[in-house]
Amino acid sequence: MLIDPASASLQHAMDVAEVRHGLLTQNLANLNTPGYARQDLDFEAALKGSSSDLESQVVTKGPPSLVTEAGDMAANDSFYAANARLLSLHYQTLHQALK
Amino acid sequence: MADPISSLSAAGAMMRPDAAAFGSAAAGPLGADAGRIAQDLAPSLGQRMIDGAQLADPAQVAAAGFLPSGPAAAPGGPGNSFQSILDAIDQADQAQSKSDVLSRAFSQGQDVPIHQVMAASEEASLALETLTALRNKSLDALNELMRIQV
Repeated sequence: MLIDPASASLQHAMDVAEVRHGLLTQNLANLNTPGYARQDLDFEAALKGSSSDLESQVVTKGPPSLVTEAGDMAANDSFYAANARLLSLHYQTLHQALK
Repeated sequence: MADPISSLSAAGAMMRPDAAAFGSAAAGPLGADAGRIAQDLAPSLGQRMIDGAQLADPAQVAAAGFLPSGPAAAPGGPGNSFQSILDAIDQADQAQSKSDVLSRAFSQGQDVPIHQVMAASEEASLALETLTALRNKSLDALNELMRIQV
């Protein structure tokens, strides 16, 4: 963490969203795999934890369904986009302060 | 690291080979344009810092009492505060290297999340901006002091 806690937590949120996106696409790809159990992040725990041990926050539950995966993915996308926007605004503010 | 002016210049010079290396790395997959732009930028980045560092004659700066001179610097006084500037230069350089490594990995198609590359390069540029702002303000303060009629 070079700059400040705010940018560190925004970056962490984007790390979480990125890992979650990987899991959700994996679920989507295995929609028709018999006996496959869907994987997802324990979102709250992952956001509170550190970026390095996100693997330990993966929970396995039930079969994948198209509706759940697509819905979760849309929510995850906007979460990532919102964080990216906030981080970019945050950096803009810092640049402005230094001008 | 004893002479702060020369260490500022050294920090400027250190930026150059890194940036030039990235320029040639980018020349591969991204086309010659990106590489050329990076190489054009690289010398000016280093040169800007060196130019700034040369604005002040070290002897004049020392004569004005701006630099801590040996044991005269009290603990918590100017000596320590200058050490923290040197540390800041070090940190800015590390941020720059981290950004270079990530950008290079990204441009070579390795599996690096784009937001980490973006964040690292923003942090590096912020660190450099902060340092230049700090340097400019210090020089402004010094010039202001030099203008005081005694």
